[in-house]
Amino acid sequence: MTGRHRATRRAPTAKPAAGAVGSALPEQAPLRAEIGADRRHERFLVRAALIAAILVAVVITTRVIWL
Amino acid sequence: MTVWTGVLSWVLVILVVVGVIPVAAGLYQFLLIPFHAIRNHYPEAAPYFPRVAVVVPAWNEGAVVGASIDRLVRLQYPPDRLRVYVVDDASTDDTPQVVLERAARYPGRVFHLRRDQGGQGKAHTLNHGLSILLAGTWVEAVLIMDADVIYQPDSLRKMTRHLSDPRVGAVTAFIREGGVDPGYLTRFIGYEYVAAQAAARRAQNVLGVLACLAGGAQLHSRENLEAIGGRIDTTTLAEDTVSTILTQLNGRRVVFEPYAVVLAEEPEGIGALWKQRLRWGRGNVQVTRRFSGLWFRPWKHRGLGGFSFGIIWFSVLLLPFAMVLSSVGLIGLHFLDNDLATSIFEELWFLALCTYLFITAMTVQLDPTTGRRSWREAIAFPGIISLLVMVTAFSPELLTRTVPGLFGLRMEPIGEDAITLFLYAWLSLCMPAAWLAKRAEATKLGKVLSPALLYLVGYGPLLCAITVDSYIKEIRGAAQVWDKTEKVGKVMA
Repeated sequence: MTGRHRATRRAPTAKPAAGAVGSALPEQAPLRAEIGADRRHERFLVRAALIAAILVAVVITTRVIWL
Repeated sequence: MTVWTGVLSWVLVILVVVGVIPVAAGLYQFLLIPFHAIRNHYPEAAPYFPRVAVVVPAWNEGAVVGASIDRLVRLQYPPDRLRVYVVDDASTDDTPQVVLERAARYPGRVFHLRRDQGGQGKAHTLNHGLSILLAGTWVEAVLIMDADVIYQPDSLRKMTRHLSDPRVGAVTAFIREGGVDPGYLTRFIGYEYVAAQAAARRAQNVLGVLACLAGGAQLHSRENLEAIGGRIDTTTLAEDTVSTILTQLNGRRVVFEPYAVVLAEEPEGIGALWKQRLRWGRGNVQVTRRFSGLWFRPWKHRGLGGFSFGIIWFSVLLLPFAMVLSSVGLIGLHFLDNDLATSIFEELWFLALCTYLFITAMTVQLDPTTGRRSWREAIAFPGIISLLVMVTAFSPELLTRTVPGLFGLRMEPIGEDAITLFLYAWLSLCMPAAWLAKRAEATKLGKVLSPALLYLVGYGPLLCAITVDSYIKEIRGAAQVWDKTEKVGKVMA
């Protein structure tokens, strides 16, 4: 494996290119909040897996009773 | 029972067990998904707006490229940090006029790069654009996309936030089937994309290794592109997979961002789908060969060479083999030790039923929009006949006794035998049956019947049949043609 990299975060906003007009960069706070919201939203995966597991458990139980 | 029949029985049991490996691998992948709630890249992500060059390879995309450009320049991204470069692969339609008109409408933001000699495929087209872009200093990241896909307004900034972590070399998005009025086949594809991307790629995020950046949504940091040679692989039909593997071999991470959604138009006929997936399938065979020294060698790369990733990769690639071996094992056991064959069949297909239920229930919840649109295709994904086989495993006497009994009939032993052998052989038979659905589509009557045939046989077996075709084409050394999938611009805005 080659090319290991420093694990330092890149600057949130890079400098504009030489001669370029300064950027009207979006506010940082709402974007950080959005990242947090997306991160929290991923908890729905646990609920989805539980529902799927319950469905499978019902089928297994039914088979055990059936046979 | 002699020693030899005992040994043969064990060999046949092993063949059947080989058929279970892909099922278990599929289940394993889906069991990893809930861990994405805690093991994801969001803690390392931060708002970040590098100067992004969007590279759009275009060959006769006049019908769709104009709308794509309009949407790209309206993305929620600082306008002075976003440029669109359409690399026109010597189009013979009105693509140049459409792009030049947009370049005039959005000065300094849209550029037309023309190749005079075209037709070599997407990778060559991209390399033409990349060689120009990387020669300058403006570009900090490159987004590679297809001309017909539609990026949701917030998708690019949701992708770039992961590049704030310098360990990340590339980010991919969730490509969602986005046809306005989807037919039965596009609904199947829509469901497949949720299972293969929103689900499987989350699992790969958890494992820390990604199999493939979606061809229509690859965001690379400049450092990463330069590290992998500053160009896209042109030797295989799966250039996006090669870029993904090279990125990770160079020590950078590849991240899947599920909330960056990109809509794509997909083929509406089995023939067009076959052509597209044959290219992907052949590409995967070529990639497997090219990186043959990597698989199951964790000392070469902890993720790509890991056991988990190897099993997932080969379970997809060798699924048709596993299905045939399983059938052979069951049929052999039927003649050697019928009771053993019956009990193994019941357990194998019951495991398949449980896996199918878990995967389907998870997938429809991951993307409720597609779930509502494609619930019929979600149910029929393995095929109605395979569902019947699963139910038979659940209730073994259903077909041989229960159903005939409803009509006051009693099945003769030879009939029972025939049904049993059909059930055992179905894992193999489903693939030629899927091929028949493709062949039927080309005829007038078959065009009407092929949808019904596909629901019966299943979309999963169709993909397996295409994989078999990709082996055949590779073994024969068939010409490597980059067949463009026909698009008409029917993606919803």
